[in-house]
Amino acid sequence: MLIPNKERYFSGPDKYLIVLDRNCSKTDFLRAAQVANGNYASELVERIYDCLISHATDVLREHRGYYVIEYPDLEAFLYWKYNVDCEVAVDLVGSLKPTGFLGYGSVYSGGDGGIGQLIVSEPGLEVVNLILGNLREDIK
Amino acid sequence: MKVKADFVTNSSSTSFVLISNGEFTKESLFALVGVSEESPLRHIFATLFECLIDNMIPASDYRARNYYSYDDLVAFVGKEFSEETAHRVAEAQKRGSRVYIGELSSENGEIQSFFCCDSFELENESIYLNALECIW
Repeated sequence: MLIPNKERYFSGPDKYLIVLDRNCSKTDFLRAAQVANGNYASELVERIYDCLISHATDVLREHRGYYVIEYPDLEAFLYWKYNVDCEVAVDLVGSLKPTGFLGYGSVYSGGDGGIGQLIVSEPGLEVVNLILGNLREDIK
Repeated sequence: MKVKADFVTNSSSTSFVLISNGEFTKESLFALVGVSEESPLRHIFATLFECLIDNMIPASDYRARNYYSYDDLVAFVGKEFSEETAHRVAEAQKRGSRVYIGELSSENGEIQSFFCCDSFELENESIYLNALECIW
């Protein structure tokens, strides 16, 4: 699930949170996108992966490694560190699998402004969420 | 990503050359870019197809309408695109393939805007699509 910041859940319009059932490789992501390798479509999918996952902060690792004493609850950490709306933080933590990955980032942090712009657009967001949906099916 | 070195405005347009050995169809574009029937990206490329169809005209008409000072189509493409693209156009004309030129705009929706600003050159056995340059 990709949560863009259109609703002002957290700071910055380019910021997003991404929830995965487990850490996924680029190969998993390409498979979920159902594109042929070595084509323009697969190049776009790789750029989406790099934008959303390669450059994202691993929030769970960051919390465990540096903040767990100060903020024992992940929800409180998301609220205070990332300014995530309380209700969104509770839902998000509730939906996390034990093997889950929670990423935070800016769609522009990898330097690919075009793909960042596409991801935060309505059709782009739909594409990303369909890929993430397929990814969940693949994991099952 | 295209980089423009001089005056930059809030909108941009980009030109493309499309050579098709047969009829240019949605299915042929899907094959060119490599999306399967079930791919989540299919909608994006279906929109790209509509944008291309809506904005392209036969290259000879385009030259006659906008760039009649050039002697012929190959000279026009060589000057405005590249010598390599001109060579492809010349070969396509010999084969009897269809050659189109068109423009994408950043003002016509999010998907067209993305492809307008992206830079790509695609080729398979039936289609050549060059959207590398921001010419006009």
